[in-house]
Amino acid sequence: MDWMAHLAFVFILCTLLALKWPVFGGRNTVLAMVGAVLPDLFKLYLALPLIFTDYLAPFHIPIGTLLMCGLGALLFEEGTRTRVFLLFTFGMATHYALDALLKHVTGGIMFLYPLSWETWQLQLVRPDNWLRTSIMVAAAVLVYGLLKVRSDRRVGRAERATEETSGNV
Amino acid sequence: MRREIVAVVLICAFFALAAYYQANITQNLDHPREREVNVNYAQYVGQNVTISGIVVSAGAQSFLLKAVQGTYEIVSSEAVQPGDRVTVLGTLQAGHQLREVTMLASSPLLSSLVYVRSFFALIFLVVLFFVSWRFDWRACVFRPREPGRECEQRRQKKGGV
Repeated sequence: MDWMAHLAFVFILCTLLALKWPVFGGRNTVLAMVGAVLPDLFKLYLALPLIFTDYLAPFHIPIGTLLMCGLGALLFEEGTRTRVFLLFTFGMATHYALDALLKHVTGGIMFLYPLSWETWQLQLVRPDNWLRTSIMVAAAVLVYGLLKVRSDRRVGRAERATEETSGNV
Repeated sequence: MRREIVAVVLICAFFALAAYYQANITQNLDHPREREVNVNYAQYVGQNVTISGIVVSAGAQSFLLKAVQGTYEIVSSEAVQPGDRVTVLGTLQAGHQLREVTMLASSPLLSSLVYVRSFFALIFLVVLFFVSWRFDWRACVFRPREPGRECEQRRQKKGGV
């Protein structure tokens, strides 16, 4: 699945979750978005000789991506690393949730590697489906727009309340 | 120092996972791939294998698929066009022939659009990331951008404070 769909999906989730848990909002949303593309680091194989494909495969296996989330979190300030790691992991989880829907001729995601080599795939959506991406991007824009209007109204109301209070004094 | 140790441990763990995967994937595949087939073609004749590639020419009952290491004749009544990217699961037969069991074909336009969309998404993500975070080269960590504080620091530097 393309990264636009992954980013739009995690953006929608974070924006909605931030209504209840502010930790998902603001600059933390972008960390979850980074986590959502981390599993696809394995696509580096496109630039490397075929022999390296199997070495890169663990990028696209949850345990391998978790290690990458840990490495990525180390690049942030001490004290924030656990939160960064959890946000990366959240993004990663959304990536696998979307990828599990894809149609494949054979194979799928090895959720339990290295404990099991079993693969899972729901075989619902074609990987080159552009309509799903368009719908997801449109939904992300809609969610962003609605929440912007909502927050602008709140700011307006707060300003009016402040003006009234200062006028009364 | 602790950070460096954790980083080394994580990198080693990743390499261990990758080495284990590389060493055992062949025995654990649902169906052998072209790489396995090429090593010992005769061993896989009569078995279901997976081959991916680009359609070179298409007929009514078969088409030619150019894979990474060879060209295969796929016996299939599915409609494909030259240039399509195809993954076929089929029964391997002698003479680089495959009788299709199931397959997934994608037009060159649709499959390249996936990469085009991903490229734009990557640019968008990089810009968005650096709007919110900056890299502190001295401490080697990302720190949140605080526009007010950064302006203040720049002003202080200019003023020689």
